[in-house]
Amino acid sequence: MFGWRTKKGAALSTTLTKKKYRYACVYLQNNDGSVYSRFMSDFYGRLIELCGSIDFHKSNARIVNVDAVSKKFLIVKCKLEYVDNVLLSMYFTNYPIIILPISGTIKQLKKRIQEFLVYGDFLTDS
Amino acid sequence: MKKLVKVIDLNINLFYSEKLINFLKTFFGIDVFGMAFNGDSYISDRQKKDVIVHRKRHGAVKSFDMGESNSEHFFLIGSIFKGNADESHYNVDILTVKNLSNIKSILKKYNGKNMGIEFLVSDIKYSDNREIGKWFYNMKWIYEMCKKYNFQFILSSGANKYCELISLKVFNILLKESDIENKKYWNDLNVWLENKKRGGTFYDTN
Repeated sequence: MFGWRTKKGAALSTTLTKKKYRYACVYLQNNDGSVYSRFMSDFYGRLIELCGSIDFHKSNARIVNVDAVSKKFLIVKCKLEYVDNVLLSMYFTNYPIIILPISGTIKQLKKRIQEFLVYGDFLTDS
Repeated sequence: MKKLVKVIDLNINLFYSEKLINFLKTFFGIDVFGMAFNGDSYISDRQKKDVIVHRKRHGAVKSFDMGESNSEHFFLIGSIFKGNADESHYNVDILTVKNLSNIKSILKKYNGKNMGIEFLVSDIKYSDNREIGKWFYNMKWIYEMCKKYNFQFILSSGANKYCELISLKVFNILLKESDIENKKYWNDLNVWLENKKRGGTFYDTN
């Protein structure tokens, strides 16, 4: 039999290969409803063309809906190894967005959004 | 604890405010900001001296009191290179490159003047993917040329809008994509800026 097994029989190999994800959050400065979908298609287009189709699929980048987070914030979940590609593609999209620091958990991300609303109030007013 | 190596963005074209500075420090990890001020609206606060670098356009200064001036402001004189090699850039601290034509002759001409060669990310933010790829290639080439001819390579956001501002993380990604070691880049830029502040610069008054 292949792989290591713990006393209880669960395969240890699953924990060793656990995939790590990161959450990137962007603040959409002008969110008129259509920006959301247009931003996403532009972002995916940039990611495919800048980093290649294979890396795009490997990055597993997708939108995450989180409760109690304003529609002005958009959260993208991606694999840790591809977070640089995702941030780069986000920066080069043609939409007025501000990229917040990345987080490893949704809880931490919510905290950052709260901080952003305090420190960046002059951005949200404009 | 005081940070030894500061993160520097020497070209932010936004209206100065305390809130903006705090935001950039807290969220983007930027420590030193290069900003242009109109008329007399300089930041006179002594504590801000280490944080704000005043940018002035070439030709705006009539006297040669660059570096540490009488009014306790630290100035950096900037000029834009658009491909014309005949244009004079003497007494310039930072040359912002917009066009790479004839850049090599400029580097040869001003070799040893302790000048900074600046690339702005805002120039290509809205370009197509092909242009972006080319820009990364050019950045690496200019970086190597700067090392060869003793210039300081500077990567700045050139932000005219809030959405064009760049965080430390994105700066490091941009450097990594151009095969530039980010630790070395930040160290070199810190040393160069400190030298400028100390006035250890050669200015050719001819």
